[in-house]
Amino acid sequence: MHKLYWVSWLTFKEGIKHRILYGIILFFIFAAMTSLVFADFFAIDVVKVGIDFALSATSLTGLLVLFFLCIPMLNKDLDKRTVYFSISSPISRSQYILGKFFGLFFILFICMLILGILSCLLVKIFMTLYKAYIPLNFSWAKMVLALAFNLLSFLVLLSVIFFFWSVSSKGFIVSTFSLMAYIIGTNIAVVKEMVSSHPGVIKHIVNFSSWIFPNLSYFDLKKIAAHGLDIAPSYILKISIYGCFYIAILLILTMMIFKKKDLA
Amino acid sequence: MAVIVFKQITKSYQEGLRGKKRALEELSLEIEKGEVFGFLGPNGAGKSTAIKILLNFIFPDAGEVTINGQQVSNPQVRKHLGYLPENPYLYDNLSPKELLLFKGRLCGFSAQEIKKRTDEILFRMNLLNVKKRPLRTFSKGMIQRVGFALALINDPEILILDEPFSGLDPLMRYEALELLLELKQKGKTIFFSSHILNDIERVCDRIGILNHGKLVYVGNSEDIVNEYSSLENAFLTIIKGHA
Repeated sequence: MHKLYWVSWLTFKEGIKHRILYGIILFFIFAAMTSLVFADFFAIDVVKVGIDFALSATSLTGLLVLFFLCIPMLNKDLDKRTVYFSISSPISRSQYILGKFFGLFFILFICMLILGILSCLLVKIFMTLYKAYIPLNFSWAKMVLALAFNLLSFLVLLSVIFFFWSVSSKGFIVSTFSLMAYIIGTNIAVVKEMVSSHPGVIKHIVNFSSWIFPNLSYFDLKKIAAHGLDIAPSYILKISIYGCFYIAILLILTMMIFKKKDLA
Repeated sequence: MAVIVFKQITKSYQEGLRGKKRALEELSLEIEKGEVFGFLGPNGAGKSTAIKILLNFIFPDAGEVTINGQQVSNPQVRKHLGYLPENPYLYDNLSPKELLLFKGRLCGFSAQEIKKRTDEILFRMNLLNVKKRPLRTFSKGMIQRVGFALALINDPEILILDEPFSGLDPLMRYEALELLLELKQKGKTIFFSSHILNDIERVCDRIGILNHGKLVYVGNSEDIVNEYSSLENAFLTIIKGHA
């Protein structure tokens, strides 16, 4: 644990000082302010739109952190050989992988905390400005839940990034495959439903893909938060277990591959 | 007693789709405790490959490497080991103080011990006044000195240095050489590769010459200098003889 902590600490410190992180957060603030300017364009359900917008902006900003901070940080370790600095210390490769993952997790957590606070602030402003449009069953708990599962979906995607990174050291390949996994992951449920009545190869391919790629739509609770819909605790438990299992399996695979990888 | 043992190490790299390039061929070598061993060879001879195998960055196709009798795959062997790569690529946003803290803590030192050693080493490396500055503001020579500091923070018994003098100005090179001599006096085992033959001649007890992945010479540095009149002559003669 002690060694994991120090690898995470190093990763966190390196990441949190990246200028790009501040650029991404500024992007969110800019997007939030723009949403306030354009709010009047929506005749009804302005607050619902505001909640949906805040959560969507958080998702997009989180994705930017993953693709423009986490992936370059991982790639730099192999491209620029900064990995030698950590690996020449008395740590195993598995400890290095887990330490990196937790370090990036803490960066995402801090980002989501900041973005979450800003999102809630944005929603509060919407609610103050458009009191008449506050959804009937709105609750802050559902908003926080949606943000928490947003974070879990990022962690699932981070584990996918780790897996591709262990297979290929090329940044472009890691980014492309991770983006593909994200697009498939967010749309797989819809596509599966669409092809369910079609017999043939496509149905089997989609079914197979749904077993391989993470179903990221499970973690999308924007609608529930925006409309104040009810959500069963069993569903929360189910998707939490699904997310954690997916992360664990991919991290185990990553460690197995990385253990045998030549860091030339 | 041999501290570092290479036993019949062979390593090839993939070249293109089907081709393979042999980087090391049945390298067998033993380095004794307290010895300063210079590893020589032209570019592409396999020196860095041997060092990477020693540090478990890459794996040999055949053979085994041990440090203090333990397989290099055991992370604990690196606890008493200092390593300086040819180009120490470090984390740009972190300061020397943070990097030394990380390295020291992983090697089992307390925060107080690290603080004391950090100040001592950075003073020696002429970096004390910039210990909190991010590395992205450092020159190449300064980064190399940080690399030296990192290699020494855990007071290692064994030092592995890959081209330790690259990027250093003449003054710093002189000081680094003095430091190596001081470490030699303290009985540290030093395994280093360099292209600067004068430095090798001055510091090393023994030298090994590698050419096309094969160890073509191992012997005392004094003997080789006596035999060929200078290390430069010896190096050129041996390499041309095995071309």
